[in-house]
Amino acid sequence: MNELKGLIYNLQPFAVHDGPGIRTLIYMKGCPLRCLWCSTPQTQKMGYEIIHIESHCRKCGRCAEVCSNGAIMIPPEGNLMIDRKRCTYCAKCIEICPHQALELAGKYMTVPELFDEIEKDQPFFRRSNGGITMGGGEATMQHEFVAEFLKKCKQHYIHTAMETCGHIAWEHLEKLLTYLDLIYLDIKHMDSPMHKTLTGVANDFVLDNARKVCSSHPVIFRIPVVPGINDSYENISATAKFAAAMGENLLRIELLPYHQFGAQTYFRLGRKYELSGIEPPEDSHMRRLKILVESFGIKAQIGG
Amino acid sequence: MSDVQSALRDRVSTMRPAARVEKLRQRYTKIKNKVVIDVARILTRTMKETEGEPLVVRRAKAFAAIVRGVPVNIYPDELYVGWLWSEPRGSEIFIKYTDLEKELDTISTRKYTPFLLDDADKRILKEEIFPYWKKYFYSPIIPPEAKKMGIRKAPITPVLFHYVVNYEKVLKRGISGIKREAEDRMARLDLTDPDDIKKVPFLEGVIVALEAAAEIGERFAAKARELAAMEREEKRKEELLKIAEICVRVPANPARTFYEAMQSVWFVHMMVGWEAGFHGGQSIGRADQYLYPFYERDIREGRLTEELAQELIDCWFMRFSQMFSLLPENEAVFMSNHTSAHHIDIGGLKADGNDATNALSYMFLEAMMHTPGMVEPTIGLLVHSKTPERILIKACQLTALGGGYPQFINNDVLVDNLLSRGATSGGKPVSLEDARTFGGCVGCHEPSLHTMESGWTVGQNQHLAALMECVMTNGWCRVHNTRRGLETGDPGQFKTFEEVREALRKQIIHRMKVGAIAANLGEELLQPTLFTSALTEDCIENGTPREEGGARYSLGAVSFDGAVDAGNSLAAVKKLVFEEKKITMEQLCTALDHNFKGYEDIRKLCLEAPKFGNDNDYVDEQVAWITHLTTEEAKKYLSRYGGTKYPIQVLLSSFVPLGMGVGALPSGRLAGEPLSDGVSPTVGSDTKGPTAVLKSVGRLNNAEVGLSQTLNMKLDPVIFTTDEGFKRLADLIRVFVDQKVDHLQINVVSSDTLIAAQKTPEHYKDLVVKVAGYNARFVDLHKDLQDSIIARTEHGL
Ligand code: SF4
Ligand code: SF4
Repeated sequence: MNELKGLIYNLQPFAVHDGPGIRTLIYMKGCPLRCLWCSTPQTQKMGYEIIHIESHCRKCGRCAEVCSNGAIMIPPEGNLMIDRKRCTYCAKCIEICPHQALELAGKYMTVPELFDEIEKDQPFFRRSNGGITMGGGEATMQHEFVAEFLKKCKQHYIHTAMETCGHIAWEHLEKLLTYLDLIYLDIKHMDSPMHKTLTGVANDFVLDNARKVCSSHPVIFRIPVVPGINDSYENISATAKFAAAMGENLLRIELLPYHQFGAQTYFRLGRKYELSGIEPPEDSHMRRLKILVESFGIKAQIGG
Repeated sequence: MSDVQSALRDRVSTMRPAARVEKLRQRYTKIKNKVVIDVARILTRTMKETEGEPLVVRRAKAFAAIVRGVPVNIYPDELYVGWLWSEPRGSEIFIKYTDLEKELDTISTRKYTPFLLDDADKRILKEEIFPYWKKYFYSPIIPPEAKKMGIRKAPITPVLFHYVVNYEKVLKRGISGIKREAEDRMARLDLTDPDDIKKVPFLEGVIVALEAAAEIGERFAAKARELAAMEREEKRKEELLKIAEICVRVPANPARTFYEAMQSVWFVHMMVGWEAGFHGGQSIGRADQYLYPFYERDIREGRLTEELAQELIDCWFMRFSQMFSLLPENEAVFMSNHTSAHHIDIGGLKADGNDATNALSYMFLEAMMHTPGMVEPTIGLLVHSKTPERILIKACQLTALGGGYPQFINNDVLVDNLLSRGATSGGKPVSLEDARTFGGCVGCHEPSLHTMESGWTVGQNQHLAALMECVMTNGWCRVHNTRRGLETGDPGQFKTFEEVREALRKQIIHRMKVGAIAANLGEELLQPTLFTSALTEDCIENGTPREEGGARYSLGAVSFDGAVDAGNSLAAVKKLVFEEKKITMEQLCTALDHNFKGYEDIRKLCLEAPKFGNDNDYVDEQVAWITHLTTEEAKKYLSRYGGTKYPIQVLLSSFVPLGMGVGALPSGRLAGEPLSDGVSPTVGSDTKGPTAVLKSVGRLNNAEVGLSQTLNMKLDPVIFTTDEGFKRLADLIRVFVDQKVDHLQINVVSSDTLIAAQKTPEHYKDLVVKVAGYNARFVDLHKDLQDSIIARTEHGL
């Protein structure tokens, strides 16, 4: 039997900012969007990725020796180069690297395997009214697997939450909602063409899904506040106005200040960080945006 | 305090500190450490003068001479009188530190925790004090058999430490009342009974000691009156007269008010130190419990306001922080600003099993918020399944401020621990009521039955990591190139994992025996205490000092370290050599012999093997096996004064220097790297965060490790960005209770702050970090230790 497997980037126990209580955050691989500010680019691709941790690397050359695809080059100056088009993710280089400088992002797990892992923290969920949160990447991309997994969580009385970009066919999302207690939905930009420029897709799906989800489930909107990109009063007002029409199920808007913790990861994936010039928003600006949102009668919070 | 921290403090603290508190706090941080020899000088001179008399009588006379002879100073703005070593930041000289004699000339200029030393005092130390004590402590006889086992010198342990005397009894009866008890006991002796005759000198000594102790108040009262007469400022004059009034009363008589009670406890604590020296762990006990009736009555009768009570508590707390142990340089490097761990417990249980938290419990936590930068008292919250959420949240708020306090002590495990002692602590089995009422901690966080225990000394550390090395070398120590352990056979010939474990078992059994012998030799050097014994149940009734088994319960200690390193190593050997067969024992031994140089592939495999602290049974059960075996072995040996020896894995910061003597291990740890700190996961190996750590440690049989093992955890302050963070931490502590972990100390500080502190230490003097069971100013720590604190895996987000 071909057992259902999910591709998972990582599990983060003791997550405290992504839903009530102490939670385990599950980073799924794959995302239909390519947000410029993404802080976890290693989760975007639906498939394995090689991460090279330059600070651990001693350029010993062992990885290049074992790579039968000739995907690794070690220039005399500067960083090791991986030709990711040639790489077949055989992981030989990772096994051989004596300095833990290479990592494989991505791990296939069955539903019971993943459940066994998260179940370890049941004593913490129970004490804190916590649970699990599906994140990523975009968990809905692996909706079949995620549905099975969430179903199992609910069978065991575990609180479930999911973060989603909202860009997904409604029937898939609807299936997941059956097993979800709380939804975090990103509203990245209210202007559709702008949304497309920033994330690669238009926002009509997102807004439409938002309306539907709010009709049945408690929802929290999240806005990654990126200076000069979506932090204008105009855009935030538009979002708040949209939220105000959602009714009681919309619990609040969380304004997440943009940060650069992920910048390094782009480099480690051999990618370029497009937003390098942008600084995190000023605290005072964040506070003003919070007040702005609240003026629409919507609860607001800075940070998760 | 950083801006972030002070903002947080304003958010969580319920009362502003009184102006006096902040003024004194500022003043104290500026005072330099100083060696004070008053006590040592008087003790030495009296001992010389009384040569030939029974030792108990000589010690009694010496104590009396100290109480009557130390300088009486009262400092501006202070509400209490008496400093342990005459003045704030004074420190006694530990006679046990032979190395200090050689360092007297450099003590005031050395890099780590320098101490000022007067030239005249230096001369007295060199000419009188050290030469006199040498003959007692420097040359114990080592039997040939012990020499053969590698014991070259006995640990020098002139006193039993780690105990709580009966402060409550002093508050209720006064020193004079206790003296009458001793006189009454003397009168009841049956002098036809040879056993009773033996009790005479001790009881005589107790009476001499208590008579002097009762006079201490009067000495300070006289000084206070004298200063009041000269005082121009009306308010201070009143304060001084109030002090005089209190000191006339206590500690000789029962305390009547909260203020009197606080001063009385302080006097007693001070005198305990004068008699026995603060070698660590002389603790205050459950002060919120025994002080509460005084507080409650004063408030009810309108004598005291909450504000004034808080000010009294704040000032009282700061006194514990004003003395650092003077250590020889080689130890000071790793234990800078090492204090004596005056442990205070709050919360906990009542005899009937209900929660004992009261208003003072909250105010004690508040006092810690008011006095940042103070590293004492070592405050612990006794948490159990009925602990109210409110005190737990308050404790978590204090934790968030980053000083590493309070420690969380699992009261449920503590009770299990005390009950499981059976008859091994020299007396009848501990009753459930006693376990609840008198159970608490001493020192860093060692479980104790307050007021009735002898106290103990830590003889010598047994290094389990080194023993694991011995398994891989057939008894050899690679770092020092000498024989260290048993010859348990050529490791290359081990055919099964069980043979490896058997070799480690033999090494541990052997080493614990050596440890017991060394501890016995040290215990032989003990000198009797009179004052301290009189305040320990049932020494007066038994007519016998603590050091001879007079206490209701007596126990010894054998300390060990490196259980986690050894357990990680076993797991790696099991997995790589015997299960996956990726390497052979020979290959592994060769790699270790070369400290993995040229064998990076093998090291990689070793590092990737399961590590303790990740909620993984495979390795956790190895650590549990080692801890259990070590515990069982320790309990096989009796201490000199009754009871068995108890295991303890509390390392302070010695896991850093101890690691220097241990070669590469199968866990992947390189030669010389620090060992793990108690049962805290090895630095950097706890990749799954705090929840997994608690599960792993919870898998150990923590209640059986009689004197506890340290669990330190570092949390990123980011969890406190909203008030929800306090609740999350409180939830985490609930699980700590559920999982039967016995101790937890949480250090909330970002590594960025620590790195910044390394660069500009002058800006970060306030930064108190948990080192291991005790707290120290980060900037005073050795670079290596700073680095290892920084490297400790960041948990949280
Ligand atoms: S094997 Fe590892 S350390 Fe060596 S060059 Fe490759 S990535 Fe760097
Ligand atoms: S994963 Fe395999 S193919 Fe890819 S770089 Fe490494 S060795 Fe080459």
